[in-house]
Amino acid sequence: MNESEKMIFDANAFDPLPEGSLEQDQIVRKKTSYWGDVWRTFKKNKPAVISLWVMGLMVFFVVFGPMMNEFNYYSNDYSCTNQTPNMVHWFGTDNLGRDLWTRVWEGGRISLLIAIFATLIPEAIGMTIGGISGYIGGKLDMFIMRVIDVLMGIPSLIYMILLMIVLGKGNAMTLVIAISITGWMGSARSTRGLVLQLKTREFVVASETLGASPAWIIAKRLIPNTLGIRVVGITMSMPGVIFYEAFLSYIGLGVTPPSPSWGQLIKSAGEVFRYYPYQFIIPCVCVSITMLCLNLIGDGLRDALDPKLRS
Amino acid sequence: MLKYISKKVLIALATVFVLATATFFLVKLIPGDPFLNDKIPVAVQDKQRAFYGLDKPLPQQYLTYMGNLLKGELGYSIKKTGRTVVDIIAEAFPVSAKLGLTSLVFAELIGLTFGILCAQFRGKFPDYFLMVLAVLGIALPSMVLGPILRLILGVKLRILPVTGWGDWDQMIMPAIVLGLGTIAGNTRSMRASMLAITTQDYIKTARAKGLPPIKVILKHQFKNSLVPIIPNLGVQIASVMMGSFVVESMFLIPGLGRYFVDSITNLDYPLIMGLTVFYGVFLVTMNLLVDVLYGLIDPRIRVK
Amino acid sequence: MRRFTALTMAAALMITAVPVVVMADEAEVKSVRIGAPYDPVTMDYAELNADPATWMDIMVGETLIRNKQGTYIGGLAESWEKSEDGMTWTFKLKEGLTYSDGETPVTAEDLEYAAKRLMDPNAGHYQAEAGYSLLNGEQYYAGECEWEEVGINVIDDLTIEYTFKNPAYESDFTSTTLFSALEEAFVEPLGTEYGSAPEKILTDGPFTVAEWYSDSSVKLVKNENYWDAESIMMDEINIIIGATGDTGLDMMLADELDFVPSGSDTQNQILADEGCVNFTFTTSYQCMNLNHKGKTEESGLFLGNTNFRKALTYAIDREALSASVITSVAPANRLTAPTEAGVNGFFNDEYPYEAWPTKADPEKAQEYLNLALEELGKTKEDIPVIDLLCYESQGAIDTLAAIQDMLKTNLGIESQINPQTIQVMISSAMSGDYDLWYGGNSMGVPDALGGFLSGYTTAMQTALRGYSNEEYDALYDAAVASPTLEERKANYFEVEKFFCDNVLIILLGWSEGGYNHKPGYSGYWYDVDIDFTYLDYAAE
Repeated sequence: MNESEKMIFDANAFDPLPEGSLEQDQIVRKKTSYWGDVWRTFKKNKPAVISLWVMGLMVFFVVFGPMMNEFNYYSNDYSCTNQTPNMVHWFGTDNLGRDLWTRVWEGGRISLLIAIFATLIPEAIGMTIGGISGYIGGKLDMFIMRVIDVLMGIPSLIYMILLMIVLGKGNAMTLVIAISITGWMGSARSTRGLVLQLKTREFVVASETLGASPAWIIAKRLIPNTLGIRVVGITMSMPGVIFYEAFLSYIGLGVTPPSPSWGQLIKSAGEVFRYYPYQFIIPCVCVSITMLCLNLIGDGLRDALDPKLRS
Repeated sequence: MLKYISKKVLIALATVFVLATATFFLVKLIPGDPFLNDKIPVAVQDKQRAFYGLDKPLPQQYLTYMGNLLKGELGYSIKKTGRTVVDIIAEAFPVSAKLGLTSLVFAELIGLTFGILCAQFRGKFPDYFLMVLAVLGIALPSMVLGPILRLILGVKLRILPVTGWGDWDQMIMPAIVLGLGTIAGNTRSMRASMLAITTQDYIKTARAKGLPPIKVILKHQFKNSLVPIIPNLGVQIASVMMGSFVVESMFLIPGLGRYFVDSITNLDYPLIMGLTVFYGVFLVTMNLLVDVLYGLIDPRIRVK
Repeated sequence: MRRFTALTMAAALMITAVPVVVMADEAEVKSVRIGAPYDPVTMDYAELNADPATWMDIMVGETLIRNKQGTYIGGLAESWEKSEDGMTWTFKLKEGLTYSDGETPVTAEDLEYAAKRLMDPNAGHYQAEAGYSLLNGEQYYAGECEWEEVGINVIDDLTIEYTFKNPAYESDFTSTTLFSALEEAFVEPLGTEYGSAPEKILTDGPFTVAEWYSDSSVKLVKNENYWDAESIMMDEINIIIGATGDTGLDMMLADELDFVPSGSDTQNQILADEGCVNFTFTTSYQCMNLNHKGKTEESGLFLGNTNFRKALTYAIDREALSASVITSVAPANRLTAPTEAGVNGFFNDEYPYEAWPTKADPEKAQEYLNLALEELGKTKEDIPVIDLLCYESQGAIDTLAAIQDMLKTNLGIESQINPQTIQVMISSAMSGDYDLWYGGNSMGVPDALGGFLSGYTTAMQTALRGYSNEEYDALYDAAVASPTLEERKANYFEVEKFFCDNVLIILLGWSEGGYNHKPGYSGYWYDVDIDFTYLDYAAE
């Protein structure tokens, strides 16, 4: 027992504040929301902003590119197979004489859609499960981790064939479902690892002491703090997803040929890349640019999300 | 301690058991069977099914399989006539494991180093240069990168053998192709994780103490930034040791990778089960090790 | 193959005297490296299930009659006699024949044992159907009669007699499955494992298996105890599995391979520029199998109509397909492949026929479609989306994309490509869950045509083809029962005409396989499949 506890406050010892002093202390600047703050920091990052513009351009071409010439993505023309890029066919043609300009942009639609949704959805699932597992810990954590072991141990090809039979052909939706079902486990493991590291930190302990519920702590304290690192994981998994879509299309799941996708274009051109390199390089450049932009945007977001790097 | 370990082992065994059971029934849900063939009379197909016990009701097949599994028997492969599953794994696994581990060790070393460099030079040329490399590394499918390497190094320059297995120089190209994704991934995630730590108080303290920057990086930052990399390390090691279908067929390496695909598309039930159980044991062991590793890396983490 | 770096190569070249001595040593062992797409899987003749690798099995075994580069000579047999109706054949075996160990003698009992093992009703051997050709063979397999009633009769140690269900010909006895010998004392202890590893194989052919790494490589060495060992020139044959396509091409260019399976025109050209030799032969029928009952009742209504099927076949531009997506396939204008044997020469020369044009004929296609619609009382709008089933390979998907476009442009018919993994695809096909199915029909067996045609008889009926026609059955049965080769071929021609007129399948073309090889090799040959038994090499 030390001195301070014995100290007794007397109401008379305090003087009231002078009139108007409250107004002086009021915050003059408009209150910024969390995301507003993130956006403000993000805007300062030049490469990230440029990337955002480039992505915008990409989206523009993906939407309007196929309408820019007279060709469609499926009609064959045996009089002009395997042509190198020229004035008529701006990106050349493939082995069936189909116009690659149209096919590349048409293919971008599905690939971009998949790249974004089939990475974000499993990530969201994985973060939630990983966050809960890591924060609650104990038996639940053990159980969730072993369930993940089992799910990861079953060859994904088995799921995919079964899903193909259940979902059948269709659209991007079936693909997103298929990839989400098998894609969340890695992210759950990562998130759990980060949460394990974070949960003993002062700000979490503070929230706990103040009586915050576990759900609130996971959603508002832990997951936002893992985002910075997970953003990188998300952007890096996108090309994998783009190529995975090609594989899934080949085993009959999702979008079927002749509907193109970047993954399918690269896969089929990959087999003849040394004879017709342009067929392979063009979609590959598209994927690379998209990847680069998403990585730079991801870095910008990362910096903006990290409260300590924010200036 | 003994109690702790035996408990872990028991849980691991239970996990593998559940995995085997789930796989067993999931595979049977796929329509068709390995003997379905439009060129073979139905009478012959029926006898073949009977020979492998596939004419029995499913629960009975399951019990028989599990009984054999307990005895350590994985049975005969259906498509690789006359060869046991154990035989196939014993022949191909060492090859994949050797290639996979070699490639992984190099990829981890290079990837982590690149990641540290990126973090140190954040926003400067080396950062962007390595990012472009990483992006290309992950956006170029190995299906194309492999043949390009093979053409340049093997055919044009003739400094490395094009295909084959046995000599150390035959491992170089496949190891590069196999490791590229890991390098790219690690470069990026190590960068992120290093940056997340640079502003931590203990790093500031270490700097303030006047420790040379290199020492701060290696002693304080490096160890702590491994935390986000480690959770998936177990899976990474396990899967890389199982081989890669694409790389192995590209460089004609007699590894395990192709069996993981072929056994399923061919519905070679005993081989699918054998591979899954084998991989499962590996995966579960690795993940348990990773959990232990956590505590060693960051004393604040205590996995109970 | 160990390889030196460019630097050590240069260094080695400087010391010219040493390599000469080494070369002289190496010249004594003649060896060759051959690329192959598939592993033989098993060397057990009863279980052969990898068609494209059958040539390897044939090199290690000996059959009753051997097709030595176009002439039938005795293999195990010294001489033979056949009955007038061609149903009973008696063989006298060579004296003093042994297996590759040089000790175990080959006897008539060994031939009987091999056949009995093949048809063991309890084992379910993959090739058991081969025994159906024998009298009572099918009945024995079904457990309806005793082994003694089957048409195999060992007369003494060196004499064996076969009785068949239908007339047989010399070419039938070149099959290793039914007409080769197995040593019971060696095979029985191994059980199912016989033929799965070098030490688990005992055969009597020109070569023996020295090394075998599954899906990787097979090393065959000359069998010094083979009765005709002096005709065998190669000491070692190294088969490298997976050395095909661009991988095989690179290996040829880097001197890691001597024979590579033919690839695309571009690949073949690159090798030709390097001085390599190319040869090709027909390996399979490429076709769109038709489900006459359709995937759904709706599509079955149309696919069951002959004129509708004719419309489909006339709408397909086979020349365009061969020029773009299936470059190694020769466009077909009839069913029978150009390499199919006739009585003396080729079947197609002896029975000329043109069933449909190789180019598309949109007008005629449209005409047939209108006829079909009229017969069915339907309009074009009633035609459902046709389901195109295939295996999940780039080539198949490209081919179907082309066909899909042809059907759309020439007939206005919509279709959907449905790629699947191999067993799922077979399961779909076998249960009739498809409209058109892209696939090949391998020719690597004698009388491939007969096998093909038999698939459409009512006896072979499965949900697969959904076809049954009494007139066709009668034509086919007459062909198989023909007592002479002349009659059989003439009857086959009748079956072929019926087959084409009624468009039982949509044949696209005849797939051509073959090899590119380094100069200096000779002695290989092919009819139904490649045969490297008598391969020889002489530096040019």
